[in-house]
Amino acid sequence: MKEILKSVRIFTAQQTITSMLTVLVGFLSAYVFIALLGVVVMFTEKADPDSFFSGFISGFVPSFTVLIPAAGVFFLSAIYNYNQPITPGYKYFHSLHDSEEHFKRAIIGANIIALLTGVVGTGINAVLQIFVPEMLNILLSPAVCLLGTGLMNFSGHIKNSLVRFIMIMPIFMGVGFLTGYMSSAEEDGEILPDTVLIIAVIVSALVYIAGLVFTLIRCKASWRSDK
Amino acid sequence: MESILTAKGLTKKYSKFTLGELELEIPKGFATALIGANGAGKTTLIDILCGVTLKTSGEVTYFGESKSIEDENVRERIGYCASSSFFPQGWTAKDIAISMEMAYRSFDRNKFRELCEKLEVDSEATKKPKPMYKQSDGNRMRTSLAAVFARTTDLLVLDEPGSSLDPLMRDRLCDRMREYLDDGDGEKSILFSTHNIADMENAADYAIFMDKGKIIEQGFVEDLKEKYIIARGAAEDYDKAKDMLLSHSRNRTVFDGLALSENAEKLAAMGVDSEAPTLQQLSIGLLKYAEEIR
Repeated sequence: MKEILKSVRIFTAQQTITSMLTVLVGFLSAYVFIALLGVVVMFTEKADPDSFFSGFISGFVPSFTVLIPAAGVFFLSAIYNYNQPITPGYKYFHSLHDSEEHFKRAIIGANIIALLTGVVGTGINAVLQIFVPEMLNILLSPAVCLLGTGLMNFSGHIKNSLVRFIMIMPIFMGVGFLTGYMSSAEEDGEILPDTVLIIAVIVSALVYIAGLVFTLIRCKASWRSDK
Repeated sequence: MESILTAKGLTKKYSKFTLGELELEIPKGFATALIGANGAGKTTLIDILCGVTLKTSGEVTYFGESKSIEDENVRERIGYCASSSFFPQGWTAKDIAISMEMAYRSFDRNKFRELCEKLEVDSEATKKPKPMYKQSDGNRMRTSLAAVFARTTDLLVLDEPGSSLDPLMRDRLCDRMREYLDDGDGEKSILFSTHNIADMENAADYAIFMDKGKIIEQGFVEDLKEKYIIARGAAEDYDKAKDMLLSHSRNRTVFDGLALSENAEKLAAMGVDSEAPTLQQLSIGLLKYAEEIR
């Protein structure tokens, strides 16, 4: 673990983590602003506070719990970027002793951080569900986290940035599809939304495991390959 | 001549460019300039020697003993700095210090701070240090040079270190390189590349000239200055002298060109003056000659 942390630090110093936290704090500030705006509207329109908070949290949670693991995926993406010759820093990292080993360890470390963001997202979701029990999307966060990290582990070795982007698109498409599907499924009573999410998490977990195995096999050769 | 680095049969093949086959010796205790036009293969050669790019074939021996750049001791003893964007764009001096301290035993964080201050760029002590992307090319290069000089090494490999520096800073860099060699008591060496040797002429003891992936000439600068001459004469004497000129330039009244010094007497008999070339003149003359016979 110490070696993994060391490699992560070599690749990110403090800048990448600071950037990740800055983005999260920025988005959180926007959410707080919107929440305050909502409270103001609630009082001026004399809305029922219970239904206001229930509606607010139901809307707030899916977007926020997707954002947290997305930050973890982007952190992982930042490490993979250093395997592209056009990325500043490429030559510095490639000139280090045992750089391919550091790269592999940094990828493992970034995977752990990405998974932790998934846990944090799920935790926030679980806490908020105590206040709004009818909220349905507690498993959205781990699904996004696992799918995003898994796909990033596959696409991180692709040289063409457009192809990499296209590979990551399913994460956003998947979130949109799941959220939409669950709302209509709940209304129609056809299928339990929880079941859909459990299936989504299982599929995402399989994608994640495959991606992790792929990158662990591939990353050293990919780092040392001619580009 | 004792070598700090030797390469035998070194090649690198790309689809549109081939480096080599190169036979190379970098003398120990001196500063070696790798001179060539853009696209000559200088950066490719440096990248191979520093383990950034893989060679296709050949053998490189470092410090007279190790055959592999993957050897940790070899990496520790080589200080490498690329020509541009060496460090990630979002990094500040503090990020560089954190990462390099983790990566190298030989990195001295205090020395790095001192060198940053000496080179007048943001250091760790700066209140709000600018990230690389907010700095000019010259300041980025200064920061990278401070980082590489902050390590205790036996060989410095600098790719185009002077290209983005202003003349005053280039002069200071030459002084710093001299200090590095003097501190080493003949044990430390420098290899640096440049496509414009004029501003770093004083820094070079040994020169390697490259053209289209091949070495066209190499040797100690003083020896090369004895081997070649710059011939200068009136335009009407050009036809008589042209067979002895390796390369030349002329206008309606005068011509000058590079020639072998063994032809100095014959040229003098024709009324053509000759003088020892500067490294810059040698560089232009040899590269022009290589272009003509290519």
